[in-house]
Amino acid sequence: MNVIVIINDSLRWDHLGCYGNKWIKTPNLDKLASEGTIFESCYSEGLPTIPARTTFFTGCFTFPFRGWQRLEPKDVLLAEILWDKGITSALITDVYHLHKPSMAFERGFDFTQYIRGHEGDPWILDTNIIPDVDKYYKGDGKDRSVRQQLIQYLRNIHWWQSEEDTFVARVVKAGIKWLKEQPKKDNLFLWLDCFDPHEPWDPPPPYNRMYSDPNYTGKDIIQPLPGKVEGYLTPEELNHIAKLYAGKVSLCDRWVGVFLDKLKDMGLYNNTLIIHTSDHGEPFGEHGIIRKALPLLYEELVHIPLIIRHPEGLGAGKRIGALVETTEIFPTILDFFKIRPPSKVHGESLLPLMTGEKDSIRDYAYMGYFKQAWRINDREWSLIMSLDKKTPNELYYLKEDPGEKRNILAGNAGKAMELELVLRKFVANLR
Amino acid sequence: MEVRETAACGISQREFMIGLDEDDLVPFYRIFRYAQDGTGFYDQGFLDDLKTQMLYIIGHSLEDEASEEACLTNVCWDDEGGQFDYGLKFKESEAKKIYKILNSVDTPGEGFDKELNQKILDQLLELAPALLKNLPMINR
Repeated sequence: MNVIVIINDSLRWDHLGCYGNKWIKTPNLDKLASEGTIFESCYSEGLPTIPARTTFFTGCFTFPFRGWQRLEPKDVLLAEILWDKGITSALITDVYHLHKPSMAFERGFDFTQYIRGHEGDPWILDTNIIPDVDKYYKGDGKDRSVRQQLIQYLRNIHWWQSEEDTFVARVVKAGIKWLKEQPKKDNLFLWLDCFDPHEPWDPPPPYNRMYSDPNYTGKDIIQPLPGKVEGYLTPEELNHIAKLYAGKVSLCDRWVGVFLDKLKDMGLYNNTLIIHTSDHGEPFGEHGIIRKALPLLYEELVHIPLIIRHPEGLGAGKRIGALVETTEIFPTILDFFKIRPPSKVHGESLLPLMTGEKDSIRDYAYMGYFKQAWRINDREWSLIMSLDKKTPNELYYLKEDPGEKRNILAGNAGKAMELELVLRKFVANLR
Repeated sequence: MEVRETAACGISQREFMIGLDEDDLVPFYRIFRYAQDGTGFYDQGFLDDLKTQMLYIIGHSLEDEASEEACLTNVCWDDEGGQFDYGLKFKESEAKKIYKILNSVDTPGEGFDKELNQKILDQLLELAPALLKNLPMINR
């Protein structure tokens, strides 16, 4: 038996057909979901990119203790646990943050491949390549950093000729190659970590115009400045950016489909646990901001997709509403391989939910940005707490307000207090 | 002492921290104090380690000209909740300015943002007055 985890970074749960989206084409993920289990209420515990990977690789809550940082020597990592259990492992990714000096997220993997060049990755440094950055950039008169980052990105991709050259395509092809090279198609563990659909939102044709307004005449702003939308983007620009993102979601779906088809060709589809998820979503002005500029822990950022296809059909076709978090991936993989998890793991295996042995594994989902904001929610209520002591808490009734548009803390102070107490007790008891 | 990237995704500028344990405070303070006006002395090994780590973690963009985006309010000390006793937090544009301070020890008082350096020193003294206020400052 094998395990393959496919991550699409910054993938909004509500942009997939299997989660109810009606206008974005994601047929391959929808098919995978129809053959597997859809977790409807999955949340990312620690945000953004690096803390989320720390959670994936340790199975532990991070948000009260650490943020964006390298792995600690004392961390007990998934790939290292599998290291002496007869399992061959690989990390194939274009998430360049994992590859930065000292980060060391390749620890424990037998094989690692980094596809270089995404976002601001200082990969192609030839200053003779002068990209037309203003074709894709909108500044605010003060920014220099995002512009510089975009120049770097455009340099990195200046040689692209077709969809085959995009990052998601190259990560998928590298994953297929590694699987093909394995002499025995058993006891494999592949972590296929795609940074797409993360910005820059520059899907190639036809994806770049798949959903956009044909009357839009502005720029393709592929890497907007993070922050407030008002005063920076026009409604038309914001809409177009969101449509470019949606196009990139469909691009990702297409390449996940290529990957799944190859698994079938190699005889791996029916002896492999396939997990597809993300590290967080992406705001597009729902609460006045674009990108993860502020630690606003609203649904569009913290609620993520999670699909698991079990090779023996366990949980096939099921939609599970129970609250689950990114902490659960680690123990689920160990459970599937029948390996006892280390004692210090906060997550719970999801297999008992898939078999029906359990109806729920936690009463609340807890999450946050280290030192910036925390959030607790059950399936009815969400409380968002800023840690800056200036920004007031916010309370939402998810049952009637799933988009978290009406902060009703003022009339429900008791409920807010109750949730804050539960969250603080949870954090205080975490070891 | 360890230099770390502390944020890089979904924000305009990368963020960093120089994490310090109690024992690191004196050698760290001495470098910035010496750079300001040549007072006292500093540990060359500590300085080399700090500069090497900054280049390693932040990258060679450190050696570019400091950006106009640099802002004093973005540099702050942190002494709670982290894995170090103290942390000097700053953004990418300040990193260049801090690196310039470190490079100026051969010609103290010249070629760097003295206001920023003074702020770092003042805040450090405020954080650990008992340790730093009465340091012998005689040149070796």
